[in-house]
Amino acid sequence: MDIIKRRKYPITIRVLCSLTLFSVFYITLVRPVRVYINQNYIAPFYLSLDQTQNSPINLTARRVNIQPDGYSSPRGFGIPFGGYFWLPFAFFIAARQKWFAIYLVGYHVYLGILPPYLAFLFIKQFSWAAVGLKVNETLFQGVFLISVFWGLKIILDQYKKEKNI
Amino acid sequence: MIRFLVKAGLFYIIWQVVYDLIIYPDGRLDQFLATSVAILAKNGLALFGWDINAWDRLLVIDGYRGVVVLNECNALTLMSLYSGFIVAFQGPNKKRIIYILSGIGIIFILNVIRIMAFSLATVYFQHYWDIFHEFSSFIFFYPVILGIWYQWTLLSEESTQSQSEFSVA
Repeated sequence: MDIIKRRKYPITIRVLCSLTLFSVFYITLVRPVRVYINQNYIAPFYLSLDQTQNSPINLTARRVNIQPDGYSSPRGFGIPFGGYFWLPFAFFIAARQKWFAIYLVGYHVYLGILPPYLAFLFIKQFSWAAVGLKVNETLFQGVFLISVFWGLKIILDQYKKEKNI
Repeated sequence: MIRFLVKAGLFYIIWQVVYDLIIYPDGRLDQFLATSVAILAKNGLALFGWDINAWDRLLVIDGYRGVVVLNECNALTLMSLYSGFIVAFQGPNKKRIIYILSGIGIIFILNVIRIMAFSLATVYFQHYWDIFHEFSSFIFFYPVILGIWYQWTLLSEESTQSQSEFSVA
């Protein structure tokens, strides 16, 4: 029986390749798709909800922001699978952490469901949804930072192991 | 790992709800952080000979566009994100308090430097100010926060090891 062994590249090479590949993939394909989906489907939907003008909606290429009177800063959501996904994802792939990568994908799928629904409720004058959107933003940043940290920590541990430090 | 994530997640949720319902309507903490950062940034730049003025949250280098320190720019969210990790990750409690307080202090100082950099950006590369602002956290905050978190995990691993050695002995 043949035994097929996966060739072991140094972690530094894997990180460089992963970052380069996913950066190119993101810039050439994912980013334009995110902008297209937002401009053609998501933004028009939320603008159609905002017919009363009670909840002014500001749109950027990859975000929907809602800022009714009485709120100093807008509440909203970004289109998932942006740079905050691809950077830690590239680290997890380089470090061969399959399950962390899958959890991250799952989290961004969730980001495509709950925050848009909260934004819908916020436009429909459910003020508690504003708190939900803020909580989501904080969790989003927290997940990003912890994911990057965890990815880098595993990579650093693997590097130390390779170099016998 | 799951326990850590649940603890960190709960910390962030509770923090954001407390912020939205109590701290933000009160306004004093946001105001204090924003104005103190603006004043310290102004003094820092004046020390280097820049002709700069500050009014409340606004900083203006003479002859250039101003920089306003909004609530979102006072680094309070980052302080909570940083603290949430230290609270949730296992480690010795005395050092945990030291790490949280010193980390918050470091983030505050980094924010002063960041606001100074924003003012200088109005002089040297105004066209790229928005991009600089968008990615400023990656330059000023994230490397330091991740570095301190890494030190905390090493400290935690050391204390766990020494505890297990003690219990074996």
